[in-house]
Amino acid sequence: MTDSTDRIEDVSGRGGLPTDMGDTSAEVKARAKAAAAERAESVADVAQEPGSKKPDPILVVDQVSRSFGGLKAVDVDHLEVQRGIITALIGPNGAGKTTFFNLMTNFDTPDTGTRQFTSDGRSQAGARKEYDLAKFPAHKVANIGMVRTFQLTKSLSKMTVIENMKLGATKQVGENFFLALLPFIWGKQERENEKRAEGLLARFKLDHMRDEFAGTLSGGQRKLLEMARALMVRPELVMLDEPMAGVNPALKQSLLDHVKGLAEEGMTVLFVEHDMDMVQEISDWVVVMAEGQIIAEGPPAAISNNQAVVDAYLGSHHDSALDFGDGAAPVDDVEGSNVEGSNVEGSNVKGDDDAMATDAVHDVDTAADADADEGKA
Amino acid sequence: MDWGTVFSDTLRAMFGETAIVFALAAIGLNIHFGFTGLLNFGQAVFMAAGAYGLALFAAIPFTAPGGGDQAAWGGQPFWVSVLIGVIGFPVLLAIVLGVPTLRLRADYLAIVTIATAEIFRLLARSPSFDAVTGSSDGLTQFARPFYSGISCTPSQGDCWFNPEERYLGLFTGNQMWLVIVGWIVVALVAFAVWVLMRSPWGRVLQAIREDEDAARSLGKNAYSYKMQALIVGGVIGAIGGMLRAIGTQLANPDQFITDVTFFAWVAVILGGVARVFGPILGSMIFWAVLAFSDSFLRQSVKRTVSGEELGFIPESIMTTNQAGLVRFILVGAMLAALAAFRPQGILGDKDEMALDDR
Ligand SMILES: Nc1ncnc2c1ncn2[C@@H]1O[C@H](COP(=O)(O)OP(=O)(O)OP(=O)(O)O)[C@@H](O)[C@H]1O
Ligand SMILES: [Mg+2]
Repeated sequence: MTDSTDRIEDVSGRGGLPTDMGDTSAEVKARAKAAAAERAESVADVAQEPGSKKPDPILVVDQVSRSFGGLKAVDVDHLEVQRGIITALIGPNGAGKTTFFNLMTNFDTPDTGTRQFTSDGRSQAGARKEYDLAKFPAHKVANIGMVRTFQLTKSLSKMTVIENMKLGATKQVGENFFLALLPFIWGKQERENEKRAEGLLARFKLDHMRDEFAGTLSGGQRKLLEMARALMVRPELVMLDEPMAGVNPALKQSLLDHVKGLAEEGMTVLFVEHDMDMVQEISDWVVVMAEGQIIAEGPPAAISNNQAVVDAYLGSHHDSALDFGDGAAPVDDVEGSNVEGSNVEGSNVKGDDDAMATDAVHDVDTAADADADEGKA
Repeated sequence: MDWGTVFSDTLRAMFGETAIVFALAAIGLNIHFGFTGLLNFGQAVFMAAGAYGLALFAAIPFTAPGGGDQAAWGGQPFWVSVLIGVIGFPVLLAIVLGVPTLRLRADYLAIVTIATAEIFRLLARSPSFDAVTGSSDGLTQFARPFYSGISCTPSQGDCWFNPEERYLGLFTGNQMWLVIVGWIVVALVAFAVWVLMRSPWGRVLQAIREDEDAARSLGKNAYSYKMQALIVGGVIGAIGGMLRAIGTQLANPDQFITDVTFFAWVAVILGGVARVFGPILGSMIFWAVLAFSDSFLRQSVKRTVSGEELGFIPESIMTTNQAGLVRFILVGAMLAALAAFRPQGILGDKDEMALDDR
């Protein structure tokens, strides 16, 4: 785990990326490092096996399954998500990650199983409380402190960026029809929400787009907006479905810092990501899903060494990207040997990256990674 | 060509009862479609709810010449009937329409509303309910309290308006009073909608229109808000329908045929979808164009009035009777031109509309 914290240092040091926090970068780095170490510590003793018990789970999933016709999209025996850390959910295309998100947030109903969310009272300003998620329709899930983003970004095109943001705030008095007619009643709260929204927009570098229609944003900017908007909910658990897809390298880097920032503020983050560099860099714990099941769990360094993960994810992911069906990757495949021959960090995921890379910017990204690796050696 | 008549006909249509009625119906539709994305193809039934809510209960019961009770539910106080027409009926109707459909895709509401509007109209026509609804003749004798003491001949008392006089060269006393009340109502409703659409409540509606799942993921109960929108838009439509019944002093099934719904849609699209003043402007222009072309064509057709040859369009092209239909062809052509050159409507924003295509 110390490896991964070192890496954070490497990354934030390179290119002098903005920290947005208003402190000196040294302080920020020190604080980030301490926080990351603390997060890593909280799961240090957890068994590295599927369905392992966590010391303080925010989400407990048991026997949850969901079939579409004959296809069992999700079939999770047991999964616990530790509070306060960044957990990555990885797995090949069609593994059931998005379906799993849908099941957790009640955008879809599981055929079987229980899901329990334990609030520590942050967002409810109350005591610790356990919620049986089966009893909460999708819109109530947000109100108990769980918010999710969508893989296919859902920006509200014909609303301005700031209106998108303000929508995210919960418990708005002015959302009641009768009170809405009396602006002096909700005006103050509206201004407070607006302030908070502007703060978040500045953090996500969208403040210059404040009054533009969200539909005019680029794909990557929409991802940012969706994430910023989710934070307006003041969630305890943020579930991000591929937040970095289509975001340029420099912005990706600051997005990573934001995600880490969320964890430092005490939020729990569960995110789906295919870019293994990102996963390595920010996650404290990785859960691997394949064909609906959890096949491995562990800290990021251990996961990328796990043979089952290499076979199921990195190999078969490449295959499915080329549309060869989902048979296991041949071991003597260039991709596979690359994985096996490489050191634990970074380079073993290049194959995965290259399979997806279609744009020139990506070269910059991998080049930068190579630099970082060199710097370490 | 008597341009004076053409212009006064046009002005009368632009500011008269019909424009008011359709402005309200269209404001309601704009809440449904423009702001929330609900497809209501049965606004006529909400209008009918307002008209019949008042007429059923406020009409004075009587015995028909051939025997048999008429207006059997009538005889209730005017203001109670107004409340039933403006609140009771449309709210009930919205709930009945919304409960089974609002959890489903938008098209289900469209189908159910169009069907309900027809079912209502056919039931209201049906002789089986003649004693209550007056079947195809409808109901009369319910609007008197609206005018009494305000519009009367000098011999009847001291009133603001005289039904036998012309005001502004356009309206009779009764019409003038209705027009004043009507435009005040339109202004109040438009102001309320303006406030609502700038409030967090209106923001949730617009979010639902853009993406219902996004709204739900942020903690908004989309179903409840869609229901609220259906109710609010329906109530506004019902006010329009009630004003129509008061203005014509009649509530009958033929006032609420399917065309009525589509005229209201035309007003919304013409004025500009999701614009607070769009439906009002749309309704005024729609009826002004219809009245202008009607009046103009009628005066242009060749005819002989007391020995004098008038007009220039020969009868082989159209007769005076046909002129009334040709105006709809002209309005259709105007709408086609609008769709081609200004699809966003008069008050719409082209850039905003183009966002759909991204
Ligand atoms: N509504 C649905 N109807 C039928 N099949 C579905 C539905 N939703 C998901 N599936 C199937 O369930 C499986 C899991 O899909 P899911 O979207 O959860 O994958 P994923 O892990 O998110 O993949 P990706 O990495 O590509 O986003 C897929 O095989 C998909 O075809
Ligand atoms: Mg997915």
